[in-house]
Order: sequence, then structure tokens, then C-alpha cells
Amino acid sequence: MPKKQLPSRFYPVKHEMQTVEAPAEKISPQQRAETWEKIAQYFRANSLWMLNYCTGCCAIELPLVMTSRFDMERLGMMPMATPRQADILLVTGYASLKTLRRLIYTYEQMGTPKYVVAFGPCAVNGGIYHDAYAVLNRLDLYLPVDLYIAGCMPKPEAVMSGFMKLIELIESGKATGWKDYEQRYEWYKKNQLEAVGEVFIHDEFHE
Amino acid sequence: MTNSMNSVKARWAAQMRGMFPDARLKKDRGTEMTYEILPRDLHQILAYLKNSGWRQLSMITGVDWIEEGQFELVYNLFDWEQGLRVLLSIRIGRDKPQVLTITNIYAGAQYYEREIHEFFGIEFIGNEDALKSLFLERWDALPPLRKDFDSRAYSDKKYVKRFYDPVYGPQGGAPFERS
Amino acid sequence: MIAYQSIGTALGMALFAWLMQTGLSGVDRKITARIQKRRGPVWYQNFRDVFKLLNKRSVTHGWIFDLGLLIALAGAIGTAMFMPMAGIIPLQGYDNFFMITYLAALGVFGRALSAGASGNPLAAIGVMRGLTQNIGYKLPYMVLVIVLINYYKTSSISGIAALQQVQGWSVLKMPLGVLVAFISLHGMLGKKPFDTYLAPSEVASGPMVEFGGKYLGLLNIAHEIAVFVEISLFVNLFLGGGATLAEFLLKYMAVYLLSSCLGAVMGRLRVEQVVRFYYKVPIGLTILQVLLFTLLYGGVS
Repeated sequence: MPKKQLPSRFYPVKHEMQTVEAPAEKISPQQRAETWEKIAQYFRANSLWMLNYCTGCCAIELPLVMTSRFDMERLGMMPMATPRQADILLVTGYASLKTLRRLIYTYEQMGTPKYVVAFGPCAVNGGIYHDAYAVLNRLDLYLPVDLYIAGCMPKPEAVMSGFMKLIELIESGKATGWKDYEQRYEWYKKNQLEAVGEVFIHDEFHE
Repeated sequence: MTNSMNSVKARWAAQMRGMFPDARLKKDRGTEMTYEILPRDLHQILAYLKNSGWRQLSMITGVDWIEEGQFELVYNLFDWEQGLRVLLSIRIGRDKPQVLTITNIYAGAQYYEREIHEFFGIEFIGNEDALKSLFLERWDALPPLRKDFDSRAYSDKKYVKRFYDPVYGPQGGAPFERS
Repeated sequence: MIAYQSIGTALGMALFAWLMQTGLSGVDRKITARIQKRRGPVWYQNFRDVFKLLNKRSVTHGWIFDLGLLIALAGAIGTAMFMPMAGIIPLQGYDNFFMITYLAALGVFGRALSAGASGNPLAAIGVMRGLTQNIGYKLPYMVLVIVLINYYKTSSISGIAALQQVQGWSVLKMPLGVLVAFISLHGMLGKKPFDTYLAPSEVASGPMVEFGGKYLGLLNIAHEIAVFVEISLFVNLFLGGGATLAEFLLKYMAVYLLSSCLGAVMGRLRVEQVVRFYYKVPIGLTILQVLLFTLLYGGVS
């Protein structure tokens, strides 16, 4: 139960002398960096290239989002072929033991700033695969997730609104998963090693 | 199904009966026939079938019959010209399961054998590549598709779970925070 | 002696080329989207993309990787500096066709060098395909231009354009040849049937596979300027250049948008189909055109 607040007229009006600071002669480097960051955020938000790497069944919704009916390109989003070129990593569904190693490889190959969008409940708590022997339950322990899109699978409308939300987050500077990954790199690495034993990939295509 | 096809099939089935008296026709679904055969006949029958048109090995499946103490392996062959599918099933003992590889007849069986070795622990004699891991890298427990493997217990032990009390309704929902 | 002023004009020319072509390729994306019944991005989307790319952090793959990219960029800008445009000739007397061809090749080879140095096998496949295709479309194009140079008795591009203003466009003299040149141009631009070397899902965008962030941004700039050079060359050599800047730009846009409309409705060919096509149809048509041209407009002197 919140405390009942008195209307403002019951408070004594308090007059305080306010000191007005004279405008600085020069723009400080920090201010300049902030302005530059704001401009950069506008460009980052409006030109998102997503990586065509899809892990689970939610990926089937992406062709609908790309093509004529929902048309992702009007938000400035495009599918890209390689992690070097891409800005968003879409984890469309569950991450299994084998996939997680590749996901980490892929994520670390992308240039910053980069964002991770997770689809469906599987990335949150395992979803319907919560008791499967090879499905990692919580994605956010291993990769910094910026946005979850709900639904099993999320409808194209939900995906579009999720992408618009992501644009909003980036433009307001709240999508800072990549900074988090850099700052708490040891913590993420520890979790990854606990889950998959070794992040290095051993198979005939990598050896 | 046309009459001519029926007659072709009947002729072929009779031939099969003559050549391999141990093979027992278990089920006939028109375009799909299931034979139960002995493991020692497997290579002969596969070689015969490959020469008479079943050039495609669609897949190999494993089944765990834990009460009978047996594994069943089903070899799924397809003939594109007659449109006929033949399933050959063999049974092997469940403790220390071993079977000869068929990669010398169907080279494409390589990946199926790798997968079955990984998920059931069946050893394929003569195929050393089948020992390499395919899906489950660094696996540290029983092969997971055996019936005595408890997937839930393994998952609970190995992976970090997310627990929260669900709050239903428009106000509810636990906020997700980076822990 | 080239005056500093004309070098300034030439650099301004390259800047203008980049601005115009980047805007136009945004329009191209919009048109492609409209053909596919989509809404498409805003027309200045490509500017956003380039500035975003220049703002990203990226990794290098060794100094040859950096150097190749710089060669590609310098080659593209250098070529655009020599390109005459409707009477505006930035470096008077240096707008020779052969010079521009050599400088344009510098851009292509710089890109190939950089992609090869990245060490990715897909980049090597893409470069190999690109260079194979390059020979395929350069051969008929060169033969046609040499016939034109022989006819007009000058290899200066502005000279050829000016003569066409008097004698009529080359497209009227060699219609088949212009068709072939357009097919070659379509290949040079990397538009749809001939974009085998940068197929995204087959070879993961080919030569660009290891480029990201700032590198991809610079590559994008180099590409847009190279596109400007290729289309301007086509307009100057075959469509009579332009008496005024407006006329030139109108022709330029017509050629570019025709190419992008064609690209929007076609599928991608496989690499052996591309090679077979280029060594069969354009070269056959070129030989026919050269014979006809020789019969109608006098022999080779």
C-alpha cells in the first residue's frame, strides 16, 4: 500500500538561489564523444544487418519477415552472409551442446557493436526442451542477450515488433550487451566452460 | 497400385523367399515391406538388394527393446524405379552390442553408423570413423537414446535451470535481469 | 603541367560520383523492393549503411589485406578523377580510354589482393570466379571499343563523346554492339544473373567474406565509385555523352535503372553457365557486329 501523498500546496514553498553556470567556452572531449555516440547510435539503429545463422525452429518465421508481406528491409534490416559483416545475431530457438560452441565462435567473430536477439521460450528457460539431454536451458549465461521475443514460435508480427523494439533500444543506448560481454568476459567464459567443457571445436571441418 | 507392379513385386518376393529362407516377411504395406532377418545374412541380402535395384540407403534406425534385452537395427532401402521400400530389421544382444559395418556396400552408411554409435553405443566392426563424435561432442554419460538413460536427471544435473514463481495476469511476469 | 585547380575539380568529381551513385543505389533498392511488392528502405539507406559500417570496430588480416583495400579505393577514386562528364573534363588531355581501363583494373585487382590475403577459402573461390567472369565480359567490350576508336580516330573519351554529338550516337551505328556492351556492363555491375561470384548462400558473399566494419565500408565506397566509372564510360562511348550535365545524368540514370530492373526479375546463374554464356553469345554477336560495321562504315585502316 503506497503512502498517501499530500498535495503540493501543503508543503511550504521553498525559494533557493540557483547558480547558473556560465556556458563553457569549449566543448569538452567527453561532450563531443557523447554527441558522436548519439549520431552513431542513429546510424546503428537504422541499418541493422542480421546474420543468417539460425539454430532452431523459430527460423522458419524469418522468411515471412523478410519477404513482401512484412518486409524487414523497410526498417533497414538485411540478411548478411558472414559474421564479419553482421550486427545482430539471431538465436532462433534452443541452443544445443553442439550449437552453443558455434554460436560463441560466431558471436566473437562479429565486430562490435553487436546485438543478440533470442526467439521463443527455449532461450529463456529451455521451453519444451527443458529436460532434453543436449539443450542448454539459459542462453543469457553464455551470451549477452539484448532482447527476447516471446512466442512458440513468435508470429511474424511479434518478430517485427521485436525488431522495432530493438531499434528503439539501440537508439536510446540501452542495448549494451556487447559492452557487458567485454566487461564480464571472465564470467561468461566460466559459464561457457562449465556448460560445454571446451569451447574449441573439434570436427573434421575445423581440424 | 497397378497390376503389373503387383506382379513384379510378387515375383521378386518369391525370389527372395527362395534365396533367403531365414528372412521372414513381417509386414507388407503395398509399397513397403518389412523383413526380419538374421544378422549373419545382412551383408548377403544387402548386396543382393543393391544389385536388384535398391540403390538408395535411406537411413538406418535403432530401437532399444530394453525388456527383451535387445537392440533392433532397421535398414531402410528404396528403389526409385519400382517405388518400393524395403525395411530390413536385425536384432542384436543389448550387452556389448556389435555389428559388422555396411559401409563397404553402401558408403553413405558412414554417417548413420556414426550417429547410431553415438546415440545407442552400438559398435560397428570395421568402421573406425564411427567412433568419432558427430552431435554430442565431449559426451560424458550413457548413450542418450538408450531407454535406461534418464534425460531429465542428466539435464537437471548438468545444466543451469531458471526458477521463478510464475505470476499470471497483466501485472505479472518476472523481469529478466542479467544475473 | 596539370594545374592544382583541375586536380581539385577532379577530386570534387570523385566526391560527386560517390554521392550520386550511393543515392542512386538506394533508389535501386527501392525499385527492386517495389518490383517484389515490398515497400523497401528509404532512398538514403545506403548512406546510413556506410556511416554505420565506418563506425564499427573490425579486425584486420595482415598488412596485405589493408594495402589491397587501399589500392582498390585509390584505384576507384583515381579512375573517377579522369572520367569526363558532359563537357566537364577534369584533367584535360588525360581522359584516354586505355588509361581509364588500366586504372579500373587496379581497383579490381586491389580488391582481389585484399580478399586473397584474408585467407578464407570462400574468398579465394569468389575471387577466382570474379576474375574468370572479368575476362569473359572484358573481351567483347574491348573489341567493340577498339572498333569505335578506329572509326573515330581518337582514344580520348571526351573526344569520342563530342564526335558523337555531331555524327550521331554510336548506338545507331552498332546496335548489336551496344547490346553486347550492355550485357558486359550488367556483368561489371554484378547484377542478378551474373552475380555468381558474390552469391551469399553459396560462397558467403565471395570476396567480401572476411570484410567487416570499416573495411566493408571502404569497400562499399570503392564499389560505388567503380560503378560510376563503368556506367559513365558506357554513356560516353555508346550513348553520345551529353551536351549538358542534365542530359548526361538522365542517360546515366536510365542505363543504371534499366540494369537494376533487369536484375530484380532474374535469377542467378551458376558459374559454368555464366562462363559458357559469356564465351558464346556476346563474343559471337561481337564478331558479327565487327563484320557488319566494317562492311557499312569502311574497312580497317
